[in-house]
Amino acid sequence: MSDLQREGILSTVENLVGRTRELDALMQHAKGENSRLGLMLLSAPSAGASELLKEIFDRLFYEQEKTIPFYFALKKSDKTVRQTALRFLQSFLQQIVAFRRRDEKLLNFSGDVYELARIAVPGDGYWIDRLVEIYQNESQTKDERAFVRQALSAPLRAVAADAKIFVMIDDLHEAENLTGETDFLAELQDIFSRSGLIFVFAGRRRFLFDAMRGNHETLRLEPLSFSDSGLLAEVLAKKFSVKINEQTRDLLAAQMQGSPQFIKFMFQAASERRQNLDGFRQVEKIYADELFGGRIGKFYDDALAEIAPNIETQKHITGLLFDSLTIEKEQTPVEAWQNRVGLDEKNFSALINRLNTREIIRLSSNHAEAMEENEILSDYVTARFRLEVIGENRALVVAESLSSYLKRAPKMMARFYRRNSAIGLRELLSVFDHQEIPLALLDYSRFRDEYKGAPNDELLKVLGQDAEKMRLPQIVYAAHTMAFYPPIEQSIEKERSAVAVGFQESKYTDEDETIWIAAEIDSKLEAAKDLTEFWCDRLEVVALMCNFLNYKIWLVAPEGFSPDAIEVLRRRNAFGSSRKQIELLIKALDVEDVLGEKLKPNEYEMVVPMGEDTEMIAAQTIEEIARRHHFAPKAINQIKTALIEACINATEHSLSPDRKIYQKFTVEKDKIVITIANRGLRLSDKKAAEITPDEGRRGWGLKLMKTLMDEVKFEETDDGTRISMTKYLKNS
Amino acid sequence: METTIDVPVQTSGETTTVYASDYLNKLSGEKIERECKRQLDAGCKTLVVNFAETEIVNSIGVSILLGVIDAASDAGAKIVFSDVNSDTTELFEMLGLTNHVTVMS
Repeated sequence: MSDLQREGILSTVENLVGRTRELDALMQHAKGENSRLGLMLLSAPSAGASELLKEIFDRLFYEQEKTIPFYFALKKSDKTVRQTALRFLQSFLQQIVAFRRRDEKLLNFSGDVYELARIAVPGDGYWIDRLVEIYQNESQTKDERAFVRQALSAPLRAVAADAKIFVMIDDLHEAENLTGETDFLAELQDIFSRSGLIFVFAGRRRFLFDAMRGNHETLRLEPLSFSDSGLLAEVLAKKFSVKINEQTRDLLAAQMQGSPQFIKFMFQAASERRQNLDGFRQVEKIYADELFGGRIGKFYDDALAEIAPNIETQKHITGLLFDSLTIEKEQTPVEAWQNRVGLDEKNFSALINRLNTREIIRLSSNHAEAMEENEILSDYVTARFRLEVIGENRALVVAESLSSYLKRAPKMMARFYRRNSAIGLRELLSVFDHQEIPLALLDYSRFRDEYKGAPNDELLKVLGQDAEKMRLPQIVYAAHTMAFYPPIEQSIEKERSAVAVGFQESKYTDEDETIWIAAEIDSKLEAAKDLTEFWCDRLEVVALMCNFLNYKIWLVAPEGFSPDAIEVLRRRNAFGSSRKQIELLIKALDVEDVLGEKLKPNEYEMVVPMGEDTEMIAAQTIEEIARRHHFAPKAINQIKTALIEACINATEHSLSPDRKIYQKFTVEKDKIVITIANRGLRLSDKKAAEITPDEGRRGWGLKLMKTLMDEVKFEETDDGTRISMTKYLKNS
Repeated sequence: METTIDVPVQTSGETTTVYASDYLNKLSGEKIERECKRQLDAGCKTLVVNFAETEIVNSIGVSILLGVIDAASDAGAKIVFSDVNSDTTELFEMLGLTNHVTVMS
């Protein structure tokens, strides 16, 4: 099968969900707009890197004629270096000829390279014939390395003939299984780093990071964010005709941990079983099915089988992973793993490295631990351990597991809500870099006495004039406190406490070093003395246990601190801030983008009945919202007029069965987005006569919307129409 | 000032001023249109539509105003839109009304 047959984890449409930034970066690289020629695409497992590269290939193939895209992925079935190099050469010829002839059918051409050479465009004849010669002489070339180098250098011959090639080599982690006298990766790296070609090397991040060195650009492909996972769930729900609701969409986003592949597995399974995912019970039922015999289970079965083909070794690994997740809870020396697995040094080393690059374990400083944060992996390991190692009854294991997943789901969401509401102390501390800020932002006593209750609009300005300033340290490393001192987990959620290591004056001496230990604590009113003392004690224990000498405690309480508590903070030489102060600090440091995930946009939703001038109610509402967010009066009027036109459009043309207009106003830092949706006839459902304006005096609504707003997008939904209109604050 | 069917009107000699409401949409636009036509039929030679109270005009309102302009032209009367705020003036310009009528802010 060709590397370019679209049978990947995502289809074309879904590829773009949450990956716009990466696609843009890759396109920019393909066009030669980066300073470096090579780019390493380091991907988390099943994050969809191959599909991204295929998308880039398609765009370059269909949208332009200047740069020839070449995509090559290593395969599990590639056994030897020689055979892989031969396939590389063959694929290159095939893709070049297909591109030059503008015929995508040739990408699946099953003939041999001689036939390909015959149909190549005449201008490429000379160098293509040379490549065919190399292919032809392969069996006679005794020197493996010479052949491999010749084959991998094929794109260079094209470049020498003035062709512009963009090379993408994917799944490089599969190279670790290749046998032969030649180091495939070393040759690849040597040839491409000196070639003048623009290229991408892609593969699992832990493998590539270790295996490939060089002066390359780096692009990291992380799991999807929560919001993008939700968006993908919505796209897939539509594609597979599986019903979801907001609650299950969020559950899927949280539980699938940003894996587009696993999210898709869930929808495929639901669709095949003709079930919807519109309740927690339905989601967990499908999840259990997937884990105990579906695609998710098979994903990990295959991974383990590939890592350790011997079934007994697999059992040992399952046992070790289960212990790591349940009993030991901490890192175990690698030697202990080797003793349990019982393999010789060489085989064990290969095995443990594969477990690491697959991100089933985390390997550091000769210690190993299971990837505890991957709950899907934990569920798989637990299920397999109970079934295969202990040999429990399958029905019992499935029933108990399903029951535990169901009980866990609301807790998982609660944990997510708490995490989502956290300030992001670690991220905030990370941006400290010697900025000078008003002391009142970290000193609640001063803030309360002088600024509390002042109008929001004026606060930052007035604070800026405060003579009492302080210089923040330069933070060089910040992590959740749990990473330094795991027992703190019993007192506080991971995201609500952080430790930051830095320097006060950048002298980088012991005396200059400073450690900030921060925690976000709960209190409905100003935090009381006892609570403040308790938290100061807890964080001092962290300092003591971690041997921090020059440290600073910083507590954040939603409503600040009572006078007694302020006294406690003073005695402990600690800082105390309210949530309001933190909001101001983020603004003062101008890091709203860094903490973007924490600062959710303001969303308003309303439903108004059609007719009776109800569009004016919506217009008055949006006026109030836009005014609160400092839009200029003129822009407000434009927004109102555009909104009214959208409402009229919905009322006049939809034949809506429920006679309702669904409106959503989303205010972000720099823009307001208005979404107007209605059920009923869509534009494509109408006859031409219904669309034609009468006497040229109607049908101005669309023109007005487009003129008055910065962006207008029409979308047909399953049962109606949706208009999204955006107005940017900077343009108002 | 007299008021006919919700539309305030002021007449001085051959000049009649018709006052538009705060939101000019289909309903209020049709009222204006009817009143304007009534005044033109009564021999009005200068028709002023006063927009002092008008905050928003929608596209249907604009299309009705075009009908009023046509009616005035057919009757040989002059038509003026007065006290139009800047946003509405911009809207009229955008949709080409200012080519057919004198607009005074």
